[in-house]
Amino acid sequence: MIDADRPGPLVLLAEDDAAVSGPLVPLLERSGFRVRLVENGLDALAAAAQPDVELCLFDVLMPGIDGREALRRLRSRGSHVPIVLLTEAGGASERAMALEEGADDYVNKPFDPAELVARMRAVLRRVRPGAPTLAASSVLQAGELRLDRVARRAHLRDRELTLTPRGLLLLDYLLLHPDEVLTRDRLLNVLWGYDFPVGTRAVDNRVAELRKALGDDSGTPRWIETVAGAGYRFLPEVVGQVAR
Amino acid sequence: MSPVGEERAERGAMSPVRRWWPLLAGGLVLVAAAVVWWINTDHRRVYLEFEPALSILVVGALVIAAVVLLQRQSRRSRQREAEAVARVRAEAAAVHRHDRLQLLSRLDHELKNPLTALRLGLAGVTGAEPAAVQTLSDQVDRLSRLTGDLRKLAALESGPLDLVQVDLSQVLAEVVADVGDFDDSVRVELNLPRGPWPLPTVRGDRDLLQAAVMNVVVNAVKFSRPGGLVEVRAREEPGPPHRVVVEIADTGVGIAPDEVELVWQELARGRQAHGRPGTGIGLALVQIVVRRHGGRSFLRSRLGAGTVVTLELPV
Repeated sequence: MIDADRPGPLVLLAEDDAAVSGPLVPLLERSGFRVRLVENGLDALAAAAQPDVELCLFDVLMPGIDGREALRRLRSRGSHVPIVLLTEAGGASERAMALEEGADDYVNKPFDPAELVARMRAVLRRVRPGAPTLAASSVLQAGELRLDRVARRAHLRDRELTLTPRGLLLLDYLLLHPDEVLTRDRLLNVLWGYDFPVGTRAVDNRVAELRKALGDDSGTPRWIETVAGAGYRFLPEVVGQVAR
Repeated sequence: MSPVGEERAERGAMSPVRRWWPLLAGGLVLVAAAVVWWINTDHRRVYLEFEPALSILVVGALVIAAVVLLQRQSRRSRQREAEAVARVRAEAAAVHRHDRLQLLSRLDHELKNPLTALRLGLAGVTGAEPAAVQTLSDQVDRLSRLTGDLRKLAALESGPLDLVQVDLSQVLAEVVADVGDFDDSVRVELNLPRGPWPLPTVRGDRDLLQAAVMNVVVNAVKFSRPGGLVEVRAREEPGPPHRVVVEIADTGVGIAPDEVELVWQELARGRQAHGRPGTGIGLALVQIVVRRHGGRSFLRSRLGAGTVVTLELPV
């Protein structure tokens, strides 16, 4: 993905712990990004407004204002800049809130560096210039499927879908990451916040719930595809509407 | 609660007995005095024949009534006292558990950045022996998994539950099917009642209950010898309390008697666990899940023979 003629995407990294930013900046640069570093939330807020910033990477725990507060303020000012949070990995509700508040994705500390880079690239791939990112949208539309992220309600054509809270959370995450192979472990983390030693069966159950609600056939899927040996992928194109 | 608090609760529970004694005695004396006064006044016109036998009968009946009343009072107050002490103990245990998990959470929090820094640092190491770097990476991963497990327990204690009516027969069937792929050398059998009627549903978080059962079954398989058997059974107990009893029994290596309480604690592993994979949070997880569902969990074991873990869930 590194184009020799075009400089790498400019990433704004907001991280106050030098033990982390020390090795992270060179690692991101080796992966083809350019990095601008700030060390507190208020600087992050100011720096994110600069027009050449293409992606923000915010630690949630920072002096000044924390990463999530910076995210909230940016979104409320109408900023569409893609934001990935480096989270504390608390309970499922915290992560759900991070996504609801408009984060494009999150990565738990301690993270696998390769995983972080992959997620950042996936977020950048989905960016449409001038349009809000999916995460910054309050409504997501994929064909006849419509998810109101604020009201937490999903409709297929004009029929409302009855889903469990975790089913809804899974649908939200799938719609935010279309055409991306999502491993069971990652989905397990999104839905429950931790990885069971064995037990990604719980993810399969939730996918089955969504397939049933959408009337999708796992053999010839229209909505959710099983990628053998890897995970799941949401097939249709997703459009974000009604920026917050 | 502090020992002082416990004492106060005990004293408070006892005073009703002491309060009633003098009142009752006083009452009886008053009644007797009233009767004597009534007889000794002009009301002698009303002719009352006091047969000695009748008087003794009446007084005897009064005494018996008084004794019975007092006994019932003291029994009730003893019961109240026991309940108060149990309540105080349960509160103390809950506070202790909460504090312990808060500590584990804080520990996990402090380790996050150093572990991240280590992982990032290792990713940037050049010119070193790949084998050495791999060993370091593996150990950092192991530390990360450990802190992840501790975080998991803290989240389980207080996180929200998705409550639905859960068909445990289905949950157990899925667990047994999944574990089948895990280890071929151990037989896992499922024994569910079909008659006179199937298991009643329980109200709970389906995924957490499934995870809890899965953890116990995986343990049973892990500690079995090749060719061993793991039996997953469930039955309904009318009680009270009306409950479903799930038992996972294995013919594995067993747990030493002095370790039976220990294995329920987070990160604790019995002596037989050496050399087998795992961080030791499985049973702690199970205990938290079952407790949050208002149930109980316990195990019985014999070294060299096997173990049975019992999970009881209220209907």
